[in-house]
Amino acid sequence: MKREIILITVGIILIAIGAFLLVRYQSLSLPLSKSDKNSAASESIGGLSWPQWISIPNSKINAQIAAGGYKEGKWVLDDNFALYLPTSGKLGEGGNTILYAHTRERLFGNLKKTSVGDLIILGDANGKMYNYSVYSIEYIKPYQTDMIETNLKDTVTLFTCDGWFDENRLVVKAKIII
Amino acid sequence: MQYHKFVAIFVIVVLIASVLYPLSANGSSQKEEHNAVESEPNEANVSHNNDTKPQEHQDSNNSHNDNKKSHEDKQHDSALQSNSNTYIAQTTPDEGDNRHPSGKDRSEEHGGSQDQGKSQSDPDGKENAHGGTSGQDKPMFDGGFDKGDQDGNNGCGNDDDFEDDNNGNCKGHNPPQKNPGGCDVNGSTGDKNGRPCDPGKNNASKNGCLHGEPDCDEKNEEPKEKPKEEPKPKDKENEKSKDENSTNISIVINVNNQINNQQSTQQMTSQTLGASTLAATGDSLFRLALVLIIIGISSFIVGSFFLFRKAFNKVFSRGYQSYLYLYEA
Repeated sequence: MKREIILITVGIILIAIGAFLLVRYQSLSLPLSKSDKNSAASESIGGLSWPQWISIPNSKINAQIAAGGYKEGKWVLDDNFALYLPTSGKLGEGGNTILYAHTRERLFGNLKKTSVGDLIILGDANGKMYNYSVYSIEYIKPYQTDMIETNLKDTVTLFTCDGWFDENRLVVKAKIII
Repeated sequence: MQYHKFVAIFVIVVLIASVLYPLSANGSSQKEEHNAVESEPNEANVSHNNDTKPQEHQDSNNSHNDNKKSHEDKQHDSALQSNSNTYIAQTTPDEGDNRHPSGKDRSEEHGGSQDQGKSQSDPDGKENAHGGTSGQDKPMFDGGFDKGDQDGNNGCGNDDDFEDDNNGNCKGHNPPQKNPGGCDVNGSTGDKNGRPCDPGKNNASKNGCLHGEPDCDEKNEEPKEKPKEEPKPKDKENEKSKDENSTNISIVINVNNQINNQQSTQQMTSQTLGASTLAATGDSLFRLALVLIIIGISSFIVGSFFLFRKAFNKVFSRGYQSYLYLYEA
């Protein structure tokens, strides 16, 4: 009788811990709003535009891009879209365009399969395509925010989580192919 | 019987994992706080570099070093006073955190001078204990922010926050302040021309100059215009040294500019991101939560099943026995 009661008690405790972690997971990020989903596609200012889609043929990554960013102390994340950091460089501007996404099969789950020299294609709202070549692949800690910046012009930086407990970030940098 | 052992081991492992995971997940937020702490001294560093006078860098004597240190320490003190609520005591060694406003990391002791100073003075009291017991200015005591970097030096130690030892004020270690052209406070150094001071006349020199006054000879004499002379070898040497000094100044200025540029790049980065940590794009927390819930439900079902079976058997056996009793009767 005693063992059965212990089993039931442990089960209830585990369910409670699991529920707590689930709530915590939900509170770590902001969901993508509908306006943000559409804004990336429609945003085009003076010939400069936000990236609309990304493709990495060698890693079989094909994803739509929405406008993400850091709002209200949380990162915007979505299950279906790769996210563009609106405060980073726009396509055609000559800056560093920063994209991030979940480590999932249809998003950046295969980013770890990318190697130096691979082709990254970004498309904008005007139908123009930008080709980039990967020149750097790094594993960094989440607080090393300066590592995703680059002094090179016309670059794109992709990052996603890595590690058993997401304790690392995989950062892939690519420069434009002229 | 065996399944109980397996379940117990499994539950222990899961509990340990669930305890450890939040710790590892909180690591990023702790680093975030750490970065926030570091940003304040960096700002102080900018002001320090801008305020640095080139003339100061020409000197290489001890008085210059003392003045520079006291200058840095004053800034550090003001930074600490203004941000005393935002600092968090560190308990682990942290090489390279550059907490000191000069931007120089004092964690590493390259000179190998070991602990220095035996003074037990405590000029600033308990105000900077930061969790320590008392006497944070004394060698090997536990005051200051950076608990992992206390070097045991009294005065200006090598610890990078300059907290545990005299708070970086170096009080009592600076040489007596000389008054240019006059007698010092103690009347021991004489006037500018080396004439001894007269203690009986309020530390006046022989010419009657009081403490702090310029030298009497120069004061009373009218300025005379001297004819220009051809540069002597000494003058040429002076010019050479001036040229070297000017190159040193330019090097120092360049270094300061580079530091400022690096800081501006970091500021640009934080402006671009708007966050001190990168997004957590993984689903490990979600997976762990799911696993815990599934195991919990399984454990609950198994426990309930065996409990129910035991209770059923008890009730059934009682019923059967009572039936037999009635039948026999």
